[in-house]
Amino acid sequence: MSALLEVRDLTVRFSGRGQVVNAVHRVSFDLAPGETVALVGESGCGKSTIGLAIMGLTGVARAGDLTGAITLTFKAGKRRDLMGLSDRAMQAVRGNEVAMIFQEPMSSLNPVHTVGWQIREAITQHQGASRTAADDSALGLLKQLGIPDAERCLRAYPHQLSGGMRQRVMIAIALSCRPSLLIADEPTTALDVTIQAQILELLKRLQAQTGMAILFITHNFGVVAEIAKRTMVMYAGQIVEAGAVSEVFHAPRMPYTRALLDSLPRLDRAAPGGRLPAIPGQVPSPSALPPGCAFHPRCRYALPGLCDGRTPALEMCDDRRVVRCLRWTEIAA
Amino acid sequence: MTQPVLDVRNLRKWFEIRRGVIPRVVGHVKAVDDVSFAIQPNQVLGLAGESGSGKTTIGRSLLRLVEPTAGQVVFQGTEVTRLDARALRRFRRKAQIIFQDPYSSLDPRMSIEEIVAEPLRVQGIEPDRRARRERVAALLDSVSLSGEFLRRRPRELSGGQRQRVGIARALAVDPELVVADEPVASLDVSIQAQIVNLLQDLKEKLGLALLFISHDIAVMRHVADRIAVVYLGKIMEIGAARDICEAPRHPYTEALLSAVPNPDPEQRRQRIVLQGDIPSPANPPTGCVFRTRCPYAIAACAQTEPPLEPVGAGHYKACLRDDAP
Repeated sequence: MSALLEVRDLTVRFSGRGQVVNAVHRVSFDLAPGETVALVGESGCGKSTIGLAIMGLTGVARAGDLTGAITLTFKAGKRRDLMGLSDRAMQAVRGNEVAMIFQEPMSSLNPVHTVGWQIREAITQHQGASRTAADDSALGLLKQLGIPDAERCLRAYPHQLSGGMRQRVMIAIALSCRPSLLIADEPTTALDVTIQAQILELLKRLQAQTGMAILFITHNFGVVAEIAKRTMVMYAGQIVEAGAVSEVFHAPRMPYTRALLDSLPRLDRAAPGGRLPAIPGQVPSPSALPPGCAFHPRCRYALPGLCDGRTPALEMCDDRRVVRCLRWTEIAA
Repeated sequence: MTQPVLDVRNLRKWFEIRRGVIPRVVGHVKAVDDVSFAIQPNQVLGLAGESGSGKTTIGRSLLRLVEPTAGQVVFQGTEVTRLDARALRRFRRKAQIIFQDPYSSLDPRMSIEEIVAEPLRVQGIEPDRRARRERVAALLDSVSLSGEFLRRRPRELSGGQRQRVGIARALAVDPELVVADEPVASLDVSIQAQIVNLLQDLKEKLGLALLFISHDIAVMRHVADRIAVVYLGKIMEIGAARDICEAPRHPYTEALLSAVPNPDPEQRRQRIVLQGDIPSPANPPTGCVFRTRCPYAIAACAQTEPPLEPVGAGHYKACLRDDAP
């Protein structure tokens, strides 16, 4: 089966005030129809920027600051590079082909309109449906999402709803035009764990019903294991490891992935001596990346004279896994 | 048994709901309702629960940053709820707080030195400027920040560094009790572990009693000796951290634990997905407050409010059903 989405050498640079920030640097990946892939990393690693770039919402206008190709197979069958589309054409892609949900549903919803108004707006704007038809599908959507008392929810304003309910409304708006790809940017981060569990179950159920693909952006490795089969780990604007979740989590090859997994507090095991194996130092600022491997100042496997001088490329391992580390073969041995 | 540093008995904080042109009280938000616990020296008590469970209000009422409605807070034998302003200031020399958000809890106009020295100045400790600077430098050193940070401003610091400053400020007056309100929630994963380890080190070195408030029960398992699980302003279960995490006895604790996503894809557990949201504390359910979302609820749960009863050594739960979970 051909890919639904092909991202090739995507680079996003933010420049201004004499500073250039490489937010995303030459990122490539594929997404198959109906697949869930998790993009995981810490704040500032560029994961959200990738989601915005696919939506055409980075706000980067200067020539050369946004390069690469983002090829999407449309529902009608044709394939287009989204980077080459006009604003008007992109407007038709958003909602109908690709939709996005965000971390904080309160700031993504309009506080002065009812929930029903906002879902209807999405449907009439993107599909040209009539008001009554849109109202009917809004009600149907909320019911499909398992929202109790859906009629009342349609009449409610966002501030009258709980965080979990607001995120369900955002999902309803995103799914209202049946996109083939949903970009979910930390959709459960602001929610309690019990509500997070509800939303993850809901996304899985909706995916089984609609066959949409999900690009799930998160910093939480636990959530990755719950929702995705394949994952890409990012650090400082680049993919540093990617592969099947079961393999990456079980035997991480990139020292960063390994260190991050080790440092997680786990319910099922106590840390030796009550100490968590922490990663020293901090995430580098994207405007001042260290030379060589961006992770080397924090890496316990870093070799002076090698890792601080040579920039590692993304290498293919035997098992459909890619890793960006000069020493991965030695470390794996 | 040694005397606890802090002994909280039947603590209650009800916020009044006022309505009308001439506002009058039309109801109460029962943020904290009849909560009792104790913390021993050199012990960490974790307060776990979802947002809206009242955990932050518990922490703040202990220090009287909000005034408790009823109940007693006994700190080293002294009743805190009756202290006058002067005695309260003396009490706060012994009891400090670390806030969740290291961005809004540090004054952006002050230097790091001024921020950490402020409690010393307020309490009249170390009036000599040179001695004070040395003490601040030593405090920063104890949280692994070098002397070059003295003159910096909060905006020049990362989230993890700011949280270290917040910890140094809390420790400046040599407190015996520290309330840490979600100290790692706003930090990156790789920084969380650093701060958790730092708190552990400081507890052992200084013999602190620590109230660790968090919604993340996995973090708490590593930090806390004992854990109290709160829901709608009430303690549902309290016991040793290990017992709570490995053999929970309350249906809410069980559900909370099962909702934590596990990063090991090979360990798929039976997941209990709680239905609905936490009810409003202005109008809590009758009987057991958890019964509306509880998979084990029976008719009797709506009638009687279950008291905390022992189920093991130092382990208590507030649930009518012995067979659950």
